[in-house]
Formats: sequence, structure tokens, C-alpha cells
Amino acid sequence: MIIDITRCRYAPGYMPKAAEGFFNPFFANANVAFRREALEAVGGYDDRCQTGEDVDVSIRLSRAGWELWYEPAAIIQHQERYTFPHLLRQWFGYGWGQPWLYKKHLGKPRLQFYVAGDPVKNPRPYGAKCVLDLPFFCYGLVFLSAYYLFHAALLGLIIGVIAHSPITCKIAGAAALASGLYYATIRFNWRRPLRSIGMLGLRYAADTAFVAGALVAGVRHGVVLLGATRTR
Amino acid sequence: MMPSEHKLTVSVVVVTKDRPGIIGHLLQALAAQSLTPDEVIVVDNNSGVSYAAVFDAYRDRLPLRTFVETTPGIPAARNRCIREARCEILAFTDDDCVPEPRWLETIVEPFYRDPRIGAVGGHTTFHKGQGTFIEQYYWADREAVAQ
Repeated sequence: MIIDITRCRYAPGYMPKAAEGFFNPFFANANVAFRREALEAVGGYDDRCQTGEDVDVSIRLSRAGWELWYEPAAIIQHQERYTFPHLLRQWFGYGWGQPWLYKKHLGKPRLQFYVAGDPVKNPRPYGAKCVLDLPFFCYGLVFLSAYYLFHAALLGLIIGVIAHSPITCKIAGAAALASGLYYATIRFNWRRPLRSIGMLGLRYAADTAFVAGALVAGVRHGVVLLGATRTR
Repeated sequence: MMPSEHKLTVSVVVVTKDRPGIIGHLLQALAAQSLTPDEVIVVDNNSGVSYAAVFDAYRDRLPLRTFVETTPGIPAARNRCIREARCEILAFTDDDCVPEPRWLETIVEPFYRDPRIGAVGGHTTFHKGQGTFIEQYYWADREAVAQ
């Protein structure tokens, strides 16, 4: 199972069931209503959660057989004035809560690889698709996104340079270029290049804070979690 | 459309910490809802500052019930909300949020439709790119993942 915090596009109506796939939709605490009977049936919030208690309660409701319904016409506006440190803290925090949640809901240790699913073609389940699921000695999750491919390729490039291996350098360099260009241009508006570069920097910072949060918390829980970044 | 015979009772529940300066916007928006909540529960999660002035300003306009939860952490504060709330539907929001006038009515309506619905989620937006670059980023990021 994976918690996909990158997607806010849900179709209005019934949300996919947690049991149907590895992807669990959830409602953030800022804008959600519960039937008291349902909340009480699952025992309310888990006070062991440091972040992601909203994710946890949505998963448990869904698994207990309750339906989650998305109503986009129920609109709330955040009025907090956001700053750069706030952005970093927020995404570090999202990453921080995930390893423990992953361990809690997965059961036995496994190594899983995911790719982004197509939410439009395959609405139930949707979001993320598990492409490889192996028994493993510890909890491991890798979401194969451009962000991780880019960094893995960079690492390969460094190894290639140190080992004086031209073939490694060429392969890793090409992979870094391809994944880096994909990451950089996916939301690029060529009519406003400076603005787009600034936005790219912020997205990269948010992704890095998210990955750092999950890695640091993962050490404490014995979980290696490279979760869904902002760009697939 | 509405198989349920009786009108569901609704608590709006909010956890807050150290933000008496902005929670007034939320309370103002709750007082202006098309569906009046049966109660508004505010749980102060051990703030270092006083909320007395802002709470007192809204007591005659909202069925306000306020509590202090000394156990730190959001889950403990939210569980306190669940224990204190008396209604059948618990609508959660945050102290830095402002709901639109029809928010409560809209988020409660699906519960009448199907008794198996345990939770209803709404759509949360940010300031639309009028402020700083970082605020424009929040908006653009939200829009990009919604494509």
C-alpha cells in the first residue's frame, strides 16, 4: 500500500476502496466530515501518529467497509500566508509520517516498486500501480518517478567518473539528462521562463524535503521509503 | 434523494494552537453558513496564548463550546473533539481555514444519500496568486496536480 499525497484530482463521488489496490485515497483534516458512528467504530484517531493521522483514519474507515465520498463543491480556503520555510517544514512533515504508516498498514516486510497509474482510464483503483512486490528482510518502497531516476543516474555518473568507466558515464549521463529534462519541463511554461524556473526550484525543494523527511523517519522505523514525489 | 427520515445533527470541530489572531476569520465564516451547525467545538491544544477575547466575541453568534486538551499532538486533540462533540456528523476544519458559505450544507448532504458513507471530503484551495511568489507556487502546484 502507498499513500499518494500528490494527487488532488478525484472524481466527485465514491472514492476507490483501500482493499481494491495499493493506493489509498484520503481526506486531509482541513476539510472533512465524518459520521460519528463510523469514527467510533474504528476507534477514532491513532495517537501514535506524528503526522498523517488523517491518512491513517481514512485507510481504517475504508478497510472497515465505510465509503469515502468526495464532494468538490464543499470549498474551504486556506488563509495562512505561506513562506519558504513553511513549504520545507510541510513537505518534510508529510515525508516524516509515511514510514511508520507504511509499516503499520502493510503487515509483513516487503520490497515494493510502484509506478504512477492513470487515474482517468482506471478510476478504481487508481493513482499508483505496484509493478514488483517481493518478500524482503525490511520494509522497502520505491516509487519510480523522474526525481529518483535523476538522482540514481547522477550517482551512477559520479561512480563512473571515479571508476574511470566511460561506458558507465555515458549511460548514466544520458539517463540523468533524460530524467532531469522530464522533471524540469513537465510543468514548464515557455512564455514565462523565469517564473517557471522559480516554480521548478520550489517543486524540487518540496520534493527533496519530502524525501528527506521519509528517509530520516525511516531510519528510526527500519523502513526505506522513497514515496510518490510531486512529479511522477 | 434523501432516504434518511430525520435531519442529521452537525458539530463543526476545530483544533487550534497559538492562533487566536486568525481563528476569528473561521468563526466569522461559520456564523455565516447556509446550514447553521448545532454546535461548534474548538479544542485548544495547550496554547501559550489566550483565546478568551475571540471566543467571547462569537459566543452570542455561534453555539460555541470550547475545551483545552493538555496532551500535545493533533491525534489526541482530535480524539478530544470526538469525545466532546454530541452530534451525528462531525465536520472538521483547521484554525487557518475559511469555508465558503455553503460549505457545511454541501459536505453534510452526501450522508443522507447512503448510510454506508463514513466520511465526506471537500476541496481545499489556497490564496490565488496575488501575494508572494511562494503563494503563487502553492496555487500553481495545486492546479497542476488537479489537471
